Amino acid sequence: MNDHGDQLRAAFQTRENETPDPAAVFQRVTELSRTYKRRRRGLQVTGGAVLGAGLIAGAFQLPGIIPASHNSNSSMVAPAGPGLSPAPSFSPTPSASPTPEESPASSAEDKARDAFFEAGYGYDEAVTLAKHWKISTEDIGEAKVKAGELILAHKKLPAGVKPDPAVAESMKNEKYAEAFFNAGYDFGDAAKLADTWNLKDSYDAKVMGGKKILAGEPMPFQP
Amino acid sequence: MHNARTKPVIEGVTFEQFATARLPALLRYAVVLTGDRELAQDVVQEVLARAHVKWRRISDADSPEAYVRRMVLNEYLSWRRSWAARNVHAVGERLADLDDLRGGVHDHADSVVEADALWNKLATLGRKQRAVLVLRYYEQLEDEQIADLLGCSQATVRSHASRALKTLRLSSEHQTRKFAEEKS
Repeated sequence: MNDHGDQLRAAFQTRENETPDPAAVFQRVTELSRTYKRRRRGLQVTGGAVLGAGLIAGAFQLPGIIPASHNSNSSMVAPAGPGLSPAPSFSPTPSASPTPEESPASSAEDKARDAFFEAGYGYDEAVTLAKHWKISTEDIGEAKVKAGELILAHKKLPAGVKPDPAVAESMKNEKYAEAFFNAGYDFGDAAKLADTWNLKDSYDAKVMGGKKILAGEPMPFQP
Repeated sequence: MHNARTKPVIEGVTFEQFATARLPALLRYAVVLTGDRELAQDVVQEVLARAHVKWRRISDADSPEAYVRRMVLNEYLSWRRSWAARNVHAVGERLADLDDLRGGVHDHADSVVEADALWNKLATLGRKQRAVLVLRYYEQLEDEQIADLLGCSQATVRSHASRALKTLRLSSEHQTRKFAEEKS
């Protein structure tokens, strides 16, 4: 390794472990993917446990069944960097485990949560609302759902929280991008479409593609 | 440099098993790639949620992890939501650190401080330049692999790397240190 390579590796190592809490990230992943799946199925949610207790239990034994590798191109496993810190495991919190079957209630909660984000509110507003409603910040999702229900009922949110129009616009675009992916297209397709449509970048292509898909307009090629 | 090549695909690994085992490593990769803890979280969350939806397809890939890491890279390169505000803020804060670094002769005993300062300087790079350095020096990929990941030529990869290193002034700092060592 050359000198600047060593310096850069050292720099990366100083911060690589400053990661968010994996369990919290995983919980959000399950929330998001539930939403995506629900949208993909057009609200027809059936079965499909997001995370079963057995799987969590099995996950603790994963290091034994998935070989470690120093190469990110290898199958299944790649540590963050060759010679860098080993990958610690994490255990998802119980709240990361959804019920075995998604009930109409959980679907309604997803809808409310979506409404909260799509209106332009975010985590900070959820924290403010949680305090206002005396909900523990550990149950921040509850505040989002409650707020989303008010939004769906066209009621004003308390505690003076205000939506961010830029976030609302961004969320709208995210919905289009999501529709693009849910139709089966991937990043490579977006890059091609950006060229085809003379767009600045692939994100614009995802948004435009999603708009066309939702409007039932034809796409240049199938996913 | 890495020397491990493709390992046998582990069949039947569910998304949950994959995520549980690999999420910490994916987060570290994203932190290094983005230079921003919160952005890393957003990127990984978004990617894994989408990966979950199409896990059956991803798990059929030769290397699901490579596929997901590529998704993380692409997501970072095309990320827009809140990125600009965060980046401007971060770079603004870090420019002061950059000024502190200029012209100084570095002490080897102060390597941690130096590494920390270099981390801050990395925030001044464009996304592709940063990605190239991360892929080359952190992921230890060859330029050919990086070119494939970024969808560009190897010459472009070298150009990104060269400009990034020039911006970071690693070459000149290296020369300054050598010069100082020779004088002492």
